[in-house]
Amino acid sequence: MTDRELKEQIIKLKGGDSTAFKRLFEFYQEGLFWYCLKLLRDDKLAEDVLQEVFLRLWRNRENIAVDKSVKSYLYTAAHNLSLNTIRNNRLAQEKLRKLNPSPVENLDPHLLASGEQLKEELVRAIEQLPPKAREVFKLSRENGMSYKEIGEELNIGIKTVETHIGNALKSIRSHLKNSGFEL
Amino acid sequence: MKNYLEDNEFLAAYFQGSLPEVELTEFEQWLQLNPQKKAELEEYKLIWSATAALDANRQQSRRWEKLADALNEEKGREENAAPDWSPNLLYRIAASLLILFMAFSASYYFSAVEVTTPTGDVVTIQLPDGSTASINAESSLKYNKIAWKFGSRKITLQGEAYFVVVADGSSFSVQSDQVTTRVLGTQFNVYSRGNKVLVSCFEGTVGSDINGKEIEQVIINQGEFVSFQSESQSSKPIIARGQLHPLANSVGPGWIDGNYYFDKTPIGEILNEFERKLGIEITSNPEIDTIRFTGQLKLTTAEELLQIMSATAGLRYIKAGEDSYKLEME
Repeated sequence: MTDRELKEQIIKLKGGDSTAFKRLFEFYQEGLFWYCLKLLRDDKLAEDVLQEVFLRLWRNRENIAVDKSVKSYLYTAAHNLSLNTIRNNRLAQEKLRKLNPSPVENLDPHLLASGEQLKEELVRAIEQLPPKAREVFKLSRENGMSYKEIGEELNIGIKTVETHIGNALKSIRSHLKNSGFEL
Repeated sequence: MKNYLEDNEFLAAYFQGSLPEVELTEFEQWLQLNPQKKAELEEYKLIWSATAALDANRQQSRRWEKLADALNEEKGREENAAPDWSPNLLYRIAASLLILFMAFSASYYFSAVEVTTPTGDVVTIQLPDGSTASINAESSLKYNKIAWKFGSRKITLQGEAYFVVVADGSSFSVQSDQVTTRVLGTQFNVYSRGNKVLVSCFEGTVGSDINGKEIEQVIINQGEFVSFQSESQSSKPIIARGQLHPLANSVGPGWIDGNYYFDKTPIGEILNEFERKLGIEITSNPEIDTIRFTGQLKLTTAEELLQIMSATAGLRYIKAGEDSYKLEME
């Protein structure tokens, strides 16, 4: 969307237009999701935050300033909600120490880009897997099949499926490390 | 001792959630004893989570359905006049954000310079090194005087500005969206609106890069431009460089003196500029916005400009009210 179209959608959103809300969701959700995922390292938690961010945008629609950046509103909300989630999640507490924990005013462009970067590197890493491992891994991750289902589909044993999955995880991790990506 | 993370089958079973309780407990104890392995497991968790989300289209519709359900549920609650907690919570969030913001700005207050230009106005300021920045309408330029003194010569720009740099080897950088432009002694214009950053060099040399990666910077000389255009606001911009049209090059950026030369510029961008400059509102549609316009335009009255544009691009305009117009396909 151009600057102009965005502005039009925001004006419509302020008036309670749900189509405009959907268009803004479609425009921003992917980037926001990967941003949250990079912070939270858990796709379920990242989706919860993503949903909360847009619920707030909808609830707060009447108070949005048309000439302010919606992007920075959304990312600031996503950043702060992610930090809250980490605080409430004891397992992830250690992660927080590594992060710069200051809320708002802190949308580091490196961090903004790193979510999308992770996505690109993952796609590349998966493409470089040996064919069989790649097939098994994709059936598991993208199609959500269980190891048993994959085994039946490809006519191989569960142990073999597990070996492929484990190998794939390791080589993706080393691919990301070798390409200098900070996990 | 066994290294669990080296065991492919174990790793796979762990993520599937099919490990027996006993083995899981043993593994957790082992993790307690090996903190560096804990970090490694975290990395696998990120990979495991992230690879489930790679199919963007399917994810988008699923996420939307989930959000729509939550919105409907919320709407149902409001209608039943259940206790409404959200204003209170929002108020508290807003209050804490405000306090943080005030604390943050107080420390920088006395050294921060921020110039925001209203509709229809161009403001020229002098930077600490004597260079000047002319700031186009509806733009904002920021820097910090103290930071500048200590060598951090960074300017943040939203919108558009034209820089004339003093000729004593002074240097600073302009941060606009994802793009950083570094001065190498020169006159240049930075345009940063929507998902586009366009840097045009009218004298000397400048270098622009994405996200401060100076090593990958694109260096342009007099008479050249470089544009960074991204599809969505977080995706990697596509870089294109080229020659400024001789007419554009001879006069500097058009907005400085109102003599514009557009070179295959999308009409949407031109309309935005006239809206900002003349304080008018022009309604069009995406089809019109993407038509490219080439030619000279002098900033006069709205009607005159619309007339010329309409005639060249096969459009017509309607006066929809005071200071508001509508453009349509002929």
